[in-house]
Amino acid sequence: MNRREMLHGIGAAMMLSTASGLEAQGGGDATGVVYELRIYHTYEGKLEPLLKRFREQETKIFERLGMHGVGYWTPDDDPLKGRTLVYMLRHKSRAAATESWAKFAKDPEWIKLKAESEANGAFVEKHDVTFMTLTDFSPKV
Amino acid sequence: MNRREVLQGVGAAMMLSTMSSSASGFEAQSGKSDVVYELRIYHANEGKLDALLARFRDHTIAIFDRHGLKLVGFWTPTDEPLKGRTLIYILKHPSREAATANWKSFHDDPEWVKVSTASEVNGKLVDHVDSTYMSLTDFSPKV
Repeated sequence: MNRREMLHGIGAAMMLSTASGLEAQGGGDATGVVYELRIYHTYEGKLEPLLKRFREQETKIFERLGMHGVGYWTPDDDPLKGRTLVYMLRHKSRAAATESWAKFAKDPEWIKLKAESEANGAFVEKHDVTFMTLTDFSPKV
Repeated sequence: MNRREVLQGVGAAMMLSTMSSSASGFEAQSGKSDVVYELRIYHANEGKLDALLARFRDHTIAIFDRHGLKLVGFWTPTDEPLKGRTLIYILKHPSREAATANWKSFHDDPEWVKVSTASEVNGKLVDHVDSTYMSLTDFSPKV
């Protein structure tokens, strides 16, 4: 390696270090942890089978793929009652969330489960996804 | 006390015991807890999210605590279109009735009235709030 090549190498290393520094700063939460609020609006009569699928298998697949369930709820009042599932996941980082969901979509257990459970029609009409970070004054979750 | 009175007493005691055990048995069987969770999504007016967060951090949370409004978590969205204009939190109430009573005592709290008025001299911080009462599913982790 001549001097010129070495300087190029140092320059590249410095650029890389600056880039990762920026990324850390822009992350909001210093730990990188993100939370994902998901609200599923089900088709008529499909909430019960959806809950059954979550109870028996889906939440376990989430955990196996590194997606930690914080809580799973159902609304008590109309118009959401009986047709909505609200849940929250915690991910190690936004990149981890993307990776886990990609793995989930290709997971053989999930593919089989979804095909079998929705043989008589899809469960979820639409879903709302909101990625969030904890505020500095929030309790730990 | 004669024999007849004794038998009457025993009968009443048995009935009470049967009634109370079946009542509590029913409650246990239904597995329903009174606890409710409230998901609240605040849509802040333009440029007001930081002031809203400061009000929660410096005042509202302490007042919540005083009125039994227990905070589970408090978040801000990271992506458009909600980023920079929204806050999301979850409260845990002992029951729906307690939620109603605690919100009322919160709104009547003199410190809240003062803080709320002072924080909005330059305009309302919140455009609207979506509130959703929810119950934990039987397969959820404890929250």
